[in-house]
Amino acid sequence: MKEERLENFEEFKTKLQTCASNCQNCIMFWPTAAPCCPSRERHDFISYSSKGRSGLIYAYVSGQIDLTDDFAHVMYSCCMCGACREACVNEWSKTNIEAFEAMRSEFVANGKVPPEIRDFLRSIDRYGNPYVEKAADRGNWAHGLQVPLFSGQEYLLFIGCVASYDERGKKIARAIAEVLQKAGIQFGILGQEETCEGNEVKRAGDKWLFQQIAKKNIGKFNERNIRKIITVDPHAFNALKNEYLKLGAQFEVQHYTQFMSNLIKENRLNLTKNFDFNVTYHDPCYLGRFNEEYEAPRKILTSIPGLRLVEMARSRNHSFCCGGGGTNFFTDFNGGSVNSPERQRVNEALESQADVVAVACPQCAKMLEEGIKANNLENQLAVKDIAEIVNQVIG
Amino acid sequence: MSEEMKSKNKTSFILSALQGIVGPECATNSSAVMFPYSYDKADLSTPENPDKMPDWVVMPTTVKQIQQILALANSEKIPVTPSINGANMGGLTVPTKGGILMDLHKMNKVVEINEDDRYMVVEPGVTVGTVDYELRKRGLWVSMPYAPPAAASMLGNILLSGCGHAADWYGCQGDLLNCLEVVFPTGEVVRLGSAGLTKSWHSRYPVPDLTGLFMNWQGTTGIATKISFPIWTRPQFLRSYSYGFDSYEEAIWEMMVPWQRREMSIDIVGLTWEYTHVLVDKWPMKRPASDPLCFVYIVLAGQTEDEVQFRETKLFEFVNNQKKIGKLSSARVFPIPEEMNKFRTNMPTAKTFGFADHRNGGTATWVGSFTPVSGWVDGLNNINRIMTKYDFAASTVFGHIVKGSHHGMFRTVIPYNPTDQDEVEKVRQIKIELTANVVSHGGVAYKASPAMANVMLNSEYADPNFYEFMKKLKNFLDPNGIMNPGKWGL
Repeated sequence: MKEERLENFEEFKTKLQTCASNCQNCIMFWPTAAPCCPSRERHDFISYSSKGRSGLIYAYVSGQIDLTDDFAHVMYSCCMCGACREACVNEWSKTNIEAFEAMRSEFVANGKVPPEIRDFLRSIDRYGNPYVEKAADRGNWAHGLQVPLFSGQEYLLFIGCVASYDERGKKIARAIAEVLQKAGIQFGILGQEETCEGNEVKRAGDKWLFQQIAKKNIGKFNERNIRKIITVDPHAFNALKNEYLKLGAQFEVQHYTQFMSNLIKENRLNLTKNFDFNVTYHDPCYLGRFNEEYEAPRKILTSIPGLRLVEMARSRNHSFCCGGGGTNFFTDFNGGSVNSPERQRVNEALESQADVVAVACPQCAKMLEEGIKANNLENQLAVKDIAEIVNQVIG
Repeated sequence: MSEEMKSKNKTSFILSALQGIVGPECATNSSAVMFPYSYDKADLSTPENPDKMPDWVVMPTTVKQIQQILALANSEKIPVTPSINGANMGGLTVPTKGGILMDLHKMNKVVEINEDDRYMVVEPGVTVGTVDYELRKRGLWVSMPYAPPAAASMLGNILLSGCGHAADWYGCQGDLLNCLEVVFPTGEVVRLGSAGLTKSWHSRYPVPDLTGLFMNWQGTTGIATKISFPIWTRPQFLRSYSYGFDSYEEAIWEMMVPWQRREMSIDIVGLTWEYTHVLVDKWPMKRPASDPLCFVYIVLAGQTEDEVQFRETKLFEFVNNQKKIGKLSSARVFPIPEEMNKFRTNMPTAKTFGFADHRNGGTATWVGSFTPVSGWVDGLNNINRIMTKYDFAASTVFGHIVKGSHHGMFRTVIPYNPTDQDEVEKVRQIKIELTANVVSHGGVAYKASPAMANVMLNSEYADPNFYEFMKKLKNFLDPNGIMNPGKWGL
């Protein structure tokens, strides 16, 4: 073993060995035997499964392999979606994604990340977003909506990078803001003061940049005495809930579906118009598997007049990732094939007899829309964020 | 041109040819991508101490592609090692001489589930988990292999004669084989069994049984591309019973054998105390004085509650009658740990390798065999001696008595820490001694790693003509010796 390598993996070493040498059950959900690993489905070689990756990490720690481009591709094509954790019943499953992150950190520390990851991290470091966009434009999504900047309102609506800059994401942010306004919620946004929350930075293995980002954001929240946060993006929700609080942040955070579900329960939204479609719900990994929120989105959908909820074969904790997780939304290491996760997922939605795939994540929305285009399903299937559906049916 | 340059040119040429056959994304010579194909715990290789890397990995999706790959390999005299889902732990899919690793998992179609004629036809990549799921939906079942995970290949398990969870009724997994489709190392394809002469895949008899040229050959004679096996109505009711014993003789000769002659249970298995505890306890562990030396675990099945109740009544009568005549003196109802019970009654299971971390190292190997019952008592005593000598738990299964006969699985599992080289060396020696123990009691190791096969082929009991005949058949089928070299000493 190379001691300096082992040092970074000390806590994982026996579990790496367990996973590398054992069962390969990480590729399928149990007991349906349905495939679960998006990158393995896309690239097929055993290396692209959790078992393969743990073997490669162990080989690296042992000095058998070095930080090559191919190795980086294997590690960075992991969607970090957590499906393998659901599939695996052994102890290893509790730490494998942490080990993958640690391996990605090795690539970062040694300057060996793929160019796509390098550019992604550099843009966030310099501009506060992965799009090399100006901070001044961050709040443009709200143009014409009269959404105020945060100035002591009860809630901060935290938008995230994708919903701030991506054209598809912006529509979702607008829908959420409109619904909140219709419910009379007192909320504000940070506008150009908002910066990336860093969930994908951490997933990319740049734990150092993530620490900087998180501390700055926590400082920003504290300065403004922000105590209640609603997030648009489940990735941001995950970072704020599971990472920021560990770093001393003091706020309550909800994903917008959780918040909206309560609004409906309290009869604060007048859902009167009909939505006469079969709708299937795609569970985002960072809302579902990582934060165990499966009910709130479904409660919203089943409250909508006319809407018929149909489930896909893989749903809830056995949902199949859209392929965008673990920075792949920005790098597309799993794209370009009929086996790409987003293309497989929209086929599965179609098989469920759905007319509409409802999502609760701007990354999922964009990934699945691309899947629909690639599979020429535009006339058969549409993607709508839950907020867009709700906004549409409010009387 | 230097030898190195020639080698590089050949590597590129073969990669291009393979990519031409299967597409650019289904063949690689990337060392990082190929690395996980280079180790397997049967002969104790690990990512830290890998065995042999393949030179190329290729993933065909059709029989035609396999034919083309084998024709290429044969003309270039390149070794070919078949692999499916990477779940084999017999060292059988590690390419001991490099060459092409043929990963067959993408051939994963369920070709036919014939509910009228009660057979199922699948490609190599169809997992035991998929078979179970598809049959469960239809109220059907088949004997599921014990140790392999749900991700393991059904075809691989049958062709390597694993042991199933209903062996008492249905036999070992090898007994399930109806028909095969096989590609020869020279590229020709043939169907065997009834499928060779008709459109139906229902049986391997009464035509000449050529499936034997591929069954248990560990991929040294060709690539199987389809297999059929029988399917049955899934019993609606299953009940399990566990008895503890203080003596192997009593467990085997007063309980297992006479009860098996009643043909009432779907499975009868003996488990040493150590075997039932490696899943739940860490090494070192010590059997409490009040715990039995071993267990006998019996599973009864029935389509109706009355049926399974009748069998239960007969089991209890049997035990009482044995006691009345002075037998089963130490037998008592003694539940095995719940984790182990769940493991044994939910096949296939995701929990297969839960015992791997018994010695805080995270993996396990085994010596498994089919051994006649007459050798079990002495064999178990020998196992205890061997394992004690090396300071390991004597975690052994003796049972799954195969239908209508008195032989069955005789297997010791060996959890070990692969990062401890002293321990690895001990395990290497344990495997040799356990294999010799099996052979000396009339047993034959299944899924034998090259080292275990070597012990069998060179034992004092081995008929030298057996191996000579194997070699003749191998040379006939595979004249250039490309298929999975190094396995079975071939």
